[in-house]
Amino acid sequence: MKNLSLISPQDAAQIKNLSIRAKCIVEGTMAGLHKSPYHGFSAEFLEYRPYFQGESTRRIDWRKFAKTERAVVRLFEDETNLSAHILLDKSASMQFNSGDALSKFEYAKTLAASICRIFIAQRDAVGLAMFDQALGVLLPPKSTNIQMEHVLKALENAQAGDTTCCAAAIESLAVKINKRGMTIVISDLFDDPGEIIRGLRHLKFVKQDVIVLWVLDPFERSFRGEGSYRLSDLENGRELLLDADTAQRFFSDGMKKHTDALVHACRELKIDLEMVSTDEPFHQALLRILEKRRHHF
Amino acid sequence: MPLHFYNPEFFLALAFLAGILALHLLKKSKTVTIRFSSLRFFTTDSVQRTQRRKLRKLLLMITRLLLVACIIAMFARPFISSKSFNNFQNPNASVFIWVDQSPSMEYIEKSLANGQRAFDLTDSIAARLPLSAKIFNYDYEAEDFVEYRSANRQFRSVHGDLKLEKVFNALKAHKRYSSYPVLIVMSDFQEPTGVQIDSLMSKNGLKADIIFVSLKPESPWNYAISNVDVIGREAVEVSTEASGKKLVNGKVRLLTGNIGTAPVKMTVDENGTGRVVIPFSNRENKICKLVLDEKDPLQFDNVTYIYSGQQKRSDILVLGNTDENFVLSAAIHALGENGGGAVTVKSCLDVTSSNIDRSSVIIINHPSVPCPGLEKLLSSRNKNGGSFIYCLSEDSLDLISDYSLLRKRFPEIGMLKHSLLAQPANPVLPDINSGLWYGFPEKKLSQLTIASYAKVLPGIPLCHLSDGGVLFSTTDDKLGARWIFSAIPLGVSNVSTIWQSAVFVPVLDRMLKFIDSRGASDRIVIAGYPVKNPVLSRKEKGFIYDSDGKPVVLPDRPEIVFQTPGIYKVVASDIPVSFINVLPDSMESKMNFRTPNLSKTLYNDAVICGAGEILSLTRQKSTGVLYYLPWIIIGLLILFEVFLWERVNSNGDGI
Repeated sequence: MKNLSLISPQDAAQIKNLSIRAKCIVEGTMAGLHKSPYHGFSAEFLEYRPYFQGESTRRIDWRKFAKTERAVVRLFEDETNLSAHILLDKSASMQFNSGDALSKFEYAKTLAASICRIFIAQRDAVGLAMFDQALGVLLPPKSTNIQMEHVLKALENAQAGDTTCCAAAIESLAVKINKRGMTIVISDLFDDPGEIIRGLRHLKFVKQDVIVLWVLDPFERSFRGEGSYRLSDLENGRELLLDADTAQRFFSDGMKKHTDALVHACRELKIDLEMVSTDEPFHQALLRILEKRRHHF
Repeated sequence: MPLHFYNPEFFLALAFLAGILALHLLKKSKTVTIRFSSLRFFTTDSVQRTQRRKLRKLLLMITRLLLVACIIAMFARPFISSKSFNNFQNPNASVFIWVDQSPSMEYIEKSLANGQRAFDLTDSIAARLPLSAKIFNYDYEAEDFVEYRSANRQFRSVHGDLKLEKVFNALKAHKRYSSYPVLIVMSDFQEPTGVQIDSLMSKNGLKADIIFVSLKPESPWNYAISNVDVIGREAVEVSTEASGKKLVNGKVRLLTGNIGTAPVKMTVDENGTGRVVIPFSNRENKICKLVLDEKDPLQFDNVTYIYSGQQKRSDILVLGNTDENFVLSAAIHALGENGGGAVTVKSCLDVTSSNIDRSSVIIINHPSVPCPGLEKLLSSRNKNGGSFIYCLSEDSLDLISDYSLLRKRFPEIGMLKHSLLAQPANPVLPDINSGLWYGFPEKKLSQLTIASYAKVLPGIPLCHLSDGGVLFSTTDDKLGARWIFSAIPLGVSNVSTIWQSAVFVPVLDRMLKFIDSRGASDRIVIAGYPVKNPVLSRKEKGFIYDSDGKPVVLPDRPEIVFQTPGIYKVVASDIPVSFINVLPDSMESKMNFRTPNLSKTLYNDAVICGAGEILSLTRQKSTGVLYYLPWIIIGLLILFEVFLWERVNSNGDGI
């Protein structure tokens, strides 16, 4: 199978099945790593898997190779000791996409599925929650393979919804978490930064290790253009007629203040904030996340 | 006053405006509709800023359009003019400039002669007219309008008749007369120029815009000397006129060659005349020069000449009814035109040959009866020169005797008869075709009527009647005598009211002056006017010498013109040596100015303006608001354009 993790999200979007897409991405990503961060040191054998070019040769089961002349790697099952929540923003603003790229929502779903797959693969319990104005779908964390199917099904059925109310959703989730663990928030964070920070602080309060994946469209990051724009708000339908220069200037200024506020708050709360662009290959985004959180996986 | 453009064809370049408009419209990008994630960062300010930027772009476009329009307007060269300057805006205009070159234009004001000022003004006007316009100035020698070429001409006055009729005719005959003609007349309008122009316009008007540029001095004043008489062998007497300013202790000297008399002081009241006697030992006849040593603005009339042997005196014989002619003789006495000579009144029947030989001017006032004696005496008069004024009878029968008398001298004369008019006719005075009326003031002559008059008069008309007939005429007879004919009797009669009016004395004065100036011997002539050539058709070639003794080159014509005042000596083998005193025209010394009367219906498009006014009414080349204002506007527009461009392309909030 072609290593889909190395291709662009535009190409990845051709794969309609989220399960396959996530699988391809995760496997491709894992195969590219020099040292697996998630298959640890459990003595309990789990299965063999084919050796992928680029992996360390130390992990090849040479005995098996001697018998079968096939290079395989032995996998061991770790003990599940992590309970993770993936909190996915499904507000209307996540529908935005510029050009023929994936929308932020599609990208976020793919990321969520991929992360979920990684967690399940590690036998970590992973749950999924989606929100717009309020917390919607909530799958409690489980480490079973069936959980993966539930997550994928929930993601596939998810439709972008209403206006964003990030803080309320996070707080609603925080209230329901009663165990130390990890929460991965995937959102474009177009909400009041103070409210978002309040929600994140609540998550930290319930002893969650929080990763915020700030998904943005490339257009939202640069906002370059000429002429004038008739901008229609995806969430409330409000319209504005602005010239490109003015729009770019105000958006840049607003985004800078917004980013500064969030980055500053996340640094204080020891929250990893990762800005992910929808034109960024999935494996790059995942690797950045995994590299930072190596001790969890 | 309306705004005009010298080069309106430049407005074709306004098509560039469409280009600029198209450029702006093309550059104006389309509006892209985007369904965007969140408009939370776009505040009300952003909308206002967008609106401001749109407004700025609109202003920028308008500014650029205005800028280009202004530059085009500059190339089109705007100017303001009155209605009479309409043709100036036309690139095909033909501008004819006539500068009065009479001696009065030598009047110096602000260190510059009026004539030179007129020439300089011509140069300025030429520089202000459109390049494609044709400019012509009148050349006195060519007697035609010639194309204007050189600048910085030096003014030189020309004595004599202005020959305005020739100027008008030259204009009408000019090939460019039909191409938007504009006639610019630059003159001080010293009388009778204005009257002459009015008269010409009444006869045959011009189809041209006329601009009279009045160069009349602001406060005219002048001193002049004239009317020199030699008093025996002891002295000369000279008149001095003070116009516009009192002459105090004016010094008059007499120069004979390089030797001069002591200056004689005289004081003359403002607008008055004074006479002064200068003692002078006149033992031998000499050419003398009289000088008024005064720094007045007009210098040419501060000098006059006299031949000390000249003692002007002419006897006048008046023939006809003695009772009727008594008034006439009294009037002649009063005029003093004969220099103190005798005025004899005689009946035609008792006149003697002695009376006739002694008289230089003979006035024959409707003899009424056949005069065989007079006829014989006249036939025998063989002396060169001499002058006659013949007034024809009012009675038809008497005309027969007139005819009988005149046909001896004028064999070609036709039968004289009376023209009885249904409506009384009026004399046309002044009749500008005749030198007789030169300088004659314009009079309202409707009350002067003539019920019947004799015709047909021989010779050249001197004065016409309103019905086209001739009132006075002149001719030379075969013996060289000069004649004036009058179609009516001189004096009170039933057929006319002329001699009962105030014009009686002036007309008589003119007739005597005219006939006397045509004398063949020592005489006074006016510079610039034609006189009989005294050396023409002599047995041997004669010569004329000027005051310096240099021979004057004369054209081989019956009439000659002396352009320079002075004493001229006439030498011919078959006549005694005589002298001609050429004087400047005294009318040029008078400070009487009168511009053409535009209130009359003679002029359609005419205007009178000053020297500064005509320049301000034509294009301002170096001064004036119209010159600077467009540049200021263009400068401001450029600044505004740069400012707007900067604001539109910057992220600042601006304005």
